[in-house]
Amino acid sequence: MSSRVLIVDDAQFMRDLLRDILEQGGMEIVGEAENGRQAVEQYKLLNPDLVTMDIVMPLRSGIEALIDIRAIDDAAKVIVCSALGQESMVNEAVSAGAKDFIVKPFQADDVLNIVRRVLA
Amino acid sequence: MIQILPFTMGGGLYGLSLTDIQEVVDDAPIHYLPGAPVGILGAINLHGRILPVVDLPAQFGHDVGPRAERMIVLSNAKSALVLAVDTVRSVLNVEAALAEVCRPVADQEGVAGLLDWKGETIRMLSLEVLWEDIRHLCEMSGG
Amino acid sequence: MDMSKYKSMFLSETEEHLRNMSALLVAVENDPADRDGIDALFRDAHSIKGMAASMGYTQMADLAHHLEDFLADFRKAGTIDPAAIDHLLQGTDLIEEVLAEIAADRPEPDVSAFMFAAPQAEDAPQNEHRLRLTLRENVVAPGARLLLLMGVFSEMGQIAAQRPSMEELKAGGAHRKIQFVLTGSLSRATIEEKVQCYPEVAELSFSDPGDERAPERRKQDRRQNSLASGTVRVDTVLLDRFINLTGELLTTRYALKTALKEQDLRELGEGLGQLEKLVGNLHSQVLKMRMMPVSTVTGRLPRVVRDLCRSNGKEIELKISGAGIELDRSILEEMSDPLMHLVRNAVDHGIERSGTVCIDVLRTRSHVQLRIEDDGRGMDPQLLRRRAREKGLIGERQAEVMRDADALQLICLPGFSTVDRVSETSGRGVGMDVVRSAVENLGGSLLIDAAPQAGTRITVTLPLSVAIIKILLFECAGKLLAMPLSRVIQTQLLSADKVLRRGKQRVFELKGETLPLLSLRKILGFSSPQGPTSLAVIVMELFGRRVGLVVDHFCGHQDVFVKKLPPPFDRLRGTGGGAVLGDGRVVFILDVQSLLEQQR
Repeated sequence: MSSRVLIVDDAQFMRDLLRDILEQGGMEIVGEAENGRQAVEQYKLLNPDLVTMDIVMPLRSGIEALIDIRAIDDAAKVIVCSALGQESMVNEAVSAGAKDFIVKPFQADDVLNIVRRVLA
Repeated sequence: MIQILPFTMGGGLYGLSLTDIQEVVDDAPIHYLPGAPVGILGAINLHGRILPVVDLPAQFGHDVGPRAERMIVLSNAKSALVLAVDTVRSVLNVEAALAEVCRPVADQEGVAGLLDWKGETIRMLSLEVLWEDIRHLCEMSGG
Repeated sequence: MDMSKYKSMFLSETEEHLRNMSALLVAVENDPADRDGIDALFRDAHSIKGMAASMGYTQMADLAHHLEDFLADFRKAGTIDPAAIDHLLQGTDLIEEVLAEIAADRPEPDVSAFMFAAPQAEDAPQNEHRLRLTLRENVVAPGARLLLLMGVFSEMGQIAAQRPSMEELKAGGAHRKIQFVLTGSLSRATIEEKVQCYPEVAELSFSDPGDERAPERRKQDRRQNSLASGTVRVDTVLLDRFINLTGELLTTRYALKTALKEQDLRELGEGLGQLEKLVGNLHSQVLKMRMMPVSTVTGRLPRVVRDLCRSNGKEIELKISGAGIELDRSILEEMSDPLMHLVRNAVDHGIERSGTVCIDVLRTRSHVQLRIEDDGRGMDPQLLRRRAREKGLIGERQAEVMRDADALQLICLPGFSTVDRVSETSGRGVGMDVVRSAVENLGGSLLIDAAPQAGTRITVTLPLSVAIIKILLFECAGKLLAMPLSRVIQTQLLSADKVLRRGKQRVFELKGETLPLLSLRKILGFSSPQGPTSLAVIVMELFGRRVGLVVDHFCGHQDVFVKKLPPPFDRLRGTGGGAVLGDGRVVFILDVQSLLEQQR
């Protein structure tokens, strides 16, 4: 059974890219959300095994959405995606319970490696 | 149901089972192969693979006439073979039972049997003999 | 948000997960090491937990969470014990009860008692590890990375004496190193294994009391390939690089797609540049995968020498150095027999009673050199000249002007042999002419050094990889042909008045040397004579002699990937393989020597 992943990012390009990488890695993308609010709604409905969460997004940031999701499911596996130079936000996200993080621009194998070890 | 690809060369009608055929190529330029013996026309670039083209009519002793540039690509585990023929017809769906009752043929080397189909006789190629002939052709040229 | 409309979906899905779990539990009971089964159970519990939590059914969520946690330990261990299965079966029964209550719109029953009754895992002996961890230089957000890693370590046991502390890490700053004491049941090897999947870690060192082992990390398995099997074992590091590259290609594809959509020429240009770089990189990685150590072909030589010494009563020591140097596997395949022959020659004809045969492998920037050297009787250039003259292999004048160094190379001429009687072990089968042409077909060269009574040294220089070679393209009678540049001594346009006649043979002068002219048209069987204004001549060596090969005209150089023809066509004479040019045309590498041999 392949792992079910929810992709959260406000950029279509990044969502497509992540979808491709994760699908190549044998994962099933069960949903996409383009802001923090949608992310929380989708999480409730889909109960995915993993969420990739962009940090900077409109309508609730990735960190806020992460906190909301963890409130619903404290074992939720959320990986945050940040850009270079957002290290303090990454620190914040990890402190708030993100299971790991990936930094854009990222490489497919790094993403898969991180996703797999979080799912393991 | 067995699918058969009929093709002509030297005025004769021949056939191959579709399961032996990788693809049919039109109009691929044939490139010069230095030192190739009579019977090998040159080589084509098939999706980046370099494959020699066997002049099938010549193999069967037919006069080499003007040729429509149709080529049938056969492949097995070890190698691939491109056969230049005159024309290729559309695929026939033949009852397996009918294909089984292929008439044996004695006088024609390289033909596994004769299949009667709607008033015509299709000479089914024997791939074993064909491969053997080509191996022989190459060995003769080589050491 | 009103969740009630999802209730029926929740009920049916939870039922399905429960059915799954009970079937899986029975299966796992029969095969306690069924990892997949345990994993699937874990996922089912996880799914139930998530759904129940979303719907606000806290008792069921807690219960499912408890089962999930309970399973996590067995998941790590990869096996499950019967007591645990009993507990899990009771747990799923309980969930079913709760589910029935929910379906009947009644409040959830309290399930906390069940969770306290969980069987406890046995106490394992405790180990204390003093750890020091360093991240790689290029890791981004190292502070956050250390925070995550400490989370991983804290699952392995108790953390103490951590510096920097969690608070310091959360506060930010560029921490790359951390040290701490980990107390838990895990062994050092297990901890190391768990850290393996974190490539961000540059080093993890243990300073356990009484532990003398040097820190070893990420040692790669030596590849043990055999030439005989068509398979190659690949270093996982290489495979990782492939995945890397594939990922980058994917990213580039996206960038290109976007650039195309937006008609952004600059982006397109950059994307294509990136693509070019990646494809080049991919190619070099694939070539790397084909590399194998020379020892794959030298490995059998000590045994061969030993057996030869047994049969001819000689005492010979074989020394091999540099066999760890790597070459493309196809080169090694082709070199296997020639190398054997050279060593046999040294044993049979070089060394008289006792001596040493050395094989030294040396690596330069673009080549690998194999030196096969013996301290035997060597060779006398004068003798070789006379012999070649007697056999009619060279002319009178040629024998006179030939330098000693060139005379030594005469033994590579077909029909030349340094001993009359065919030795039992060499001389038969592969002669020196075959050795040399094998080397040259690989784009390499062979040089013989010797002096009377002072040993023989044969130096074989090989390219690291045959896959890509530089070729000279030329036309003959309208046909495109190619030759490896390494075979071409020089190219020359010769005006018609420079062509001389010596008897029936057309010749020309090159730096004071008279070379015969051979018409490629004639060799290839094209009758039509060519226009006599000027001749395009390739100066090359054929059967050990320099000749001028007349072609129609030159068409430039190219780097190509040469492929052999598939069998049985690889037996055809006249070509060493073909290459697909950038425009899709196929060009064959001309092997003049084999064509001439056939026509003799």
